[in-house]
Amino acid sequence: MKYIITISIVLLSLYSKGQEGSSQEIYGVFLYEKAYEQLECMLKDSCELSFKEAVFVVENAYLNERLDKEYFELQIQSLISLAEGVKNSRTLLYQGEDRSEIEKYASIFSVICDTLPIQSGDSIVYRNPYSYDFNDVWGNQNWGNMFVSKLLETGKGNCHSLPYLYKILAEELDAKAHLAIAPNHFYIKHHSKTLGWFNTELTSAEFPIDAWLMASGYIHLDAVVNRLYMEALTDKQAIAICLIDLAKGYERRYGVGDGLFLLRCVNTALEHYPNYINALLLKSEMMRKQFFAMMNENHAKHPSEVFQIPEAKLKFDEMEVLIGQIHTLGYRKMPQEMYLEWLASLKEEREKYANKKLSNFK
Amino acid sequence: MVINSRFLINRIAFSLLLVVNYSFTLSSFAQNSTILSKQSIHQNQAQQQILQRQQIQRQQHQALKEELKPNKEYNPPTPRVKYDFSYNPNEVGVKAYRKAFDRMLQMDSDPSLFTLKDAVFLNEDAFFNNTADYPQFNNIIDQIGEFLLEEIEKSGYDTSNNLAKNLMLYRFFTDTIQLPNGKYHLPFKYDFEDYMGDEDYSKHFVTKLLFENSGQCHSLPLLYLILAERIGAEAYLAISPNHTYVKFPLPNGGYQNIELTSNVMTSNAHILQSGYIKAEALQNKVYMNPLSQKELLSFTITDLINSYVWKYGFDPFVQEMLDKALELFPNNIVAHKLLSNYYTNRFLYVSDQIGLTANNYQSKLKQYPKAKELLKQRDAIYDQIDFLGYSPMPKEAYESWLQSMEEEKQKKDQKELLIKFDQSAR
Repeated sequence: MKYIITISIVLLSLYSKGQEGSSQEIYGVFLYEKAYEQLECMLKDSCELSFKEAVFVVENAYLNERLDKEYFELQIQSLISLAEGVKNSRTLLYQGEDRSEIEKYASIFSVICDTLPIQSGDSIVYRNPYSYDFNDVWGNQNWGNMFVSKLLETGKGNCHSLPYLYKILAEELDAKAHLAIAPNHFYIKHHSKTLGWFNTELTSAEFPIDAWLMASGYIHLDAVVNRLYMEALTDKQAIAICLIDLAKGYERRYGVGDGLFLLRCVNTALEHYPNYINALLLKSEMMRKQFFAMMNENHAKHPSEVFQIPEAKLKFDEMEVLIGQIHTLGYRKMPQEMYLEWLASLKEEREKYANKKLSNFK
Repeated sequence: MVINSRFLINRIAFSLLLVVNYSFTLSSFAQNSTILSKQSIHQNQAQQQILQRQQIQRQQHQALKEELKPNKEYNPPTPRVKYDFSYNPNEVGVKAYRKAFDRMLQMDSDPSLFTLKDAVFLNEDAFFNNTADYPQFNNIIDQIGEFLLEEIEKSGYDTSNNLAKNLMLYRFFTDTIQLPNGKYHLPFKYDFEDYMGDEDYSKHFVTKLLFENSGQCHSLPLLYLILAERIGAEAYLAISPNHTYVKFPLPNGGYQNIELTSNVMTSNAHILQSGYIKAEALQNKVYMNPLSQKELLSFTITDLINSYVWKYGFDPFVQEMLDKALELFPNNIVAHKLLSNYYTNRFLYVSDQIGLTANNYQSKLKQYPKAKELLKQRDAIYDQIDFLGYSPMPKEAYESWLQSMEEEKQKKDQKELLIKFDQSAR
């Protein structure tokens, strides 16, 4: 009797757990729908465009609404007041007419990358800069490692969260900062009256010249010419990037499913940023998965075995065209080791790749 | 001692040209180089300022002469401000440039008239007040062309293969080749002396390269492309900061770069390594892009302008030529640089006349709306060149980059590449 009761309790708990899981999933998917609508609304100019809001929404959807909006806001605002404090407490050597703008950039850079002395009563406390998290750089183990909320919490970030935080702070300070893309990487581009375009690299706290990206041999020249990489992105393009982040988070959480949600994200993102490489790659990946599903349905072992089905043939051709297009644009896959080597090259060959015009930028 | 050895080199080069059964007269060089004024546009700012002063002084001097003419009416106390430089379109030298420019306009309206050989000759002929000898120039190009075609066949290359033609051209520029009469043609050398042509603009010229067997990053690629045109090889001119080089298409797609100043096949990475190419410049196809025929014509027009400015300074004729150059090739960086120099000089010229200083500029600009407009235009030109991704490269940086090519030359893959090309050209 006792035995039976134990078993039924175990079964019951298992059952209710299963129920809970699926209702949670339904709610989770609903959150993703809501997030998508918010981003789409910004892209359609129906809502006010805010990068901060977009990033928060994307992360919150993945974390099942466990992020506290007020707390997040508070963290950002405290960084803003810190940045303003930095700005007011020093004078830049820079003398261009756009000086007030450059001062903003410099203060954000200091908040993220410098150790800052802060007067607290009679003593001085030091605030540490954010550091680079070499553990799980691409969020393969835990997608949450890419998040700005994780960066704010732990003080450790990567090439995704650090430039995002920079962009958020710039937006709050009403400063113009552009996200820019390199293979598996984001950085910041600014324009100044005297320097023209210049780069800010937050993972190594440097101002590298373009040759670092172009001449290090890791990027195909065509990819630069075709604006796959190294373009100063508009605010709308930045939201399109968030949309792909949203899709990736969804995929990590709930898998591809019927693929409709992911495709919707991809297509909307491409509408506003046709050359966004991560969107193109995700799209080709989606097509591949759809095609393999068709092969499985028909118990086919080789693609050619399903070519007699017009729908399958069409899908295959579309996929081939897209992959060809991605290749022609200049995309080449960069393995993780290569990526880390390349990141390190900036530190190792500082003499060669640091922007010397910015050495007095303090 | 130095003079002697230079003389000797000249003699060798001279005899070599005679070997190709041709005698090239230097008379046209000698006649003019002494008459020329020493005006030129430098990258160097300090020098440029001196030049700007010179130009302004000259213009003021002319204005003064006008004022002092006896039958001139009395002028009211406020002098009229001149907002642009003046020039004399009837001066013989200016007429020569006008003639060259008109021919280039014809080449634009009828593209079949365009040959790089003619465009380059027009340039050099205008500089020498139409005293250069076209049949001679034509003859020497023909003879080298014939020789190259024969060599391609002799070397066992496929005569219809573009790679073979480019490889033979590359050999002609970089190797010692035995000529039919047993004598040798030596590789072209890089001429370090006044390579920017600041003191003598004719240093840029292809005729100088042919005569002295040494040239620089302007004349070497142009001669290569003139010869490519002659033997029907496909190759293009490409621009990098303060520099031009040759690109030819490879059989399996893509292009190979040829760096003729140091005789090496360069990689894109090495060109980018100079550090003065921004992503925007690539995205706007300012640098490293093979020039189309239209763009090449625009490039030769900017050559014409550069040499005109070296002789006569800036004036509305420059503007006229620049407009055409930019119409043909809107992102022509050479044209944009010239335009920005022109407006800088013009604004300085005007501000000198109206006595504009750092303290009074607000009231002065209010008083002279035309000057204010000019300043606006100048700043717009600055912004434009900036957004194209232009970043000025100092002379020292350029020189050290050129030097770095020597290391590139020693690399093993350089030889491997040539062996690979040699095989696929057969």
